Amino acid sequence: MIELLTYVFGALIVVSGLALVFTNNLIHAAFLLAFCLLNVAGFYVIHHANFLAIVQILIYAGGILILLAFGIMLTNRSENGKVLTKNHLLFFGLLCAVGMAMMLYALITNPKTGTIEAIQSVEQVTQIGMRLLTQYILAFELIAFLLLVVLVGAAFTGKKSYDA
Amino acid sequence: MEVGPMGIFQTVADLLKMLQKEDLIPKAADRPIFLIGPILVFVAIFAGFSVLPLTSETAGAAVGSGVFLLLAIVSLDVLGILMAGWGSNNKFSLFGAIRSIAQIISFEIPLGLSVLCVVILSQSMDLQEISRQQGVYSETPIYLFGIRSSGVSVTDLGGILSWNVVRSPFLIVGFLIFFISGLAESNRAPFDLPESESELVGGYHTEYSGFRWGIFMLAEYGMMLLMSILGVILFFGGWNTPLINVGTLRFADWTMGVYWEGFWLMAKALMLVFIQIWIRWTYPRLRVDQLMSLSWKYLTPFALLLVFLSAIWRLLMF
Repeated sequence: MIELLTYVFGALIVVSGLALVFTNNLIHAAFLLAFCLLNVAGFYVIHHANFLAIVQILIYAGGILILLAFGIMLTNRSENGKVLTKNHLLFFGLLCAVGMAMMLYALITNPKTGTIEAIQSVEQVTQIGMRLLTQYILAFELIAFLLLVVLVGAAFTGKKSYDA
Repeated sequence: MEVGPMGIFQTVADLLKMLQKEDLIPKAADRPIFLIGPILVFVAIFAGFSVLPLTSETAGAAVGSGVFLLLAIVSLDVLGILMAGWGSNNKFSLFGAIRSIAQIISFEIPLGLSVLCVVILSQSMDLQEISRQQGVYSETPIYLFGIRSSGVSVTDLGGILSWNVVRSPFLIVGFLIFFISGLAESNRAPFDLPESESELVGGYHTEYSGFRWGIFMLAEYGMMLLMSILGVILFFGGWNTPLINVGTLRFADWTMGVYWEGFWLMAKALMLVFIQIWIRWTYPRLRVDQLMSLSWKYLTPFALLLVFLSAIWRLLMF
């Protein structure tokens, strides 16, 4: 069952990902990205990473993607009501893709990285909370500080400048 | 002109009428997006119902982080509204969608924070566990107003005394924040700017007709019911009875059991739905700037303060 679902979600991720790359319509690309990210969340669920799946939905599909689509909505449309795009920077894009593929290949073939036995659902949240506030407290606090700086920065940039 | 005694079949009749109508698609609309939008709104909101516990024995998906999942899935309905607003290729729809998204994203913050208060106090994100802690089935002793040093244990009294709003009285403010944000999340008056008919015709669903329009309307009411049930579970004891055991009159024990529990949950939730409808016909609509300042300048700071208070309450009193 898990294997079958893995193939279903995998196929959906690949199809939506490819469609997202090859479409010219920017808003279609944004919604295909949402579909792709939701399928990744499904992938997490079938491998018992429930918390990660929820975070994936909340942050990527519910947060970042909506900001992205919101940005597209505020741009100008062409005469036929579409926002079209073309492929630019093919060389650097290809470079990034090849680099990413090599990195993934290195990770998969590396014997040191592998699946650690899954922690069950109820324990998961407690475990994550405990580790975040003990083992990874410095990183956690630094990220919190960074987000605060970003928030203040965004509020400052968004403010109407009275002296201009 | 109502169907049935006191018009109770009116909604059913309306739906039957809408099913028969033609599914109009504007010529200039972005066809696939226009068609998928309402379905996504429907799926997002009705998937939220999947984690709700109805009685102590009947519950939806037993997800350890249920309330978190619920908020995450419900936040996806913004995507559907965005699709509807953009796909219609109509300026009223686009403005409606932009307003709706700005509103939902802003009010998700106080909503999430007020839910977080309850999560801190009950130390669980499982909705069934949160419900169980607020009644006679609680495994940990409950003290009057949560004050352990008073030594007054109300665990076997049960009823209203063990609900979260009574266990930690400041949660009544948390509930107010939750309720106001919930109204805004479901685009109900006084926060119905996205579909304000005097300015935007119909907002993001201007171009829809027939069944697809019906989905938007029912999704709004579904969201109201979902928010009400969630509010009842988090603050008003979920499926627990409000009656208290008095000596040999075991009112709380008598009114618990699968059917009673379902009755209490739905009765309390429908009460909140009634208040939501009542508010709609009582208050005028807010302006956009008032809406934003309500969320960012009043609700969010108060909600942050409440999260802080909940943490302290948890440390001192439990």
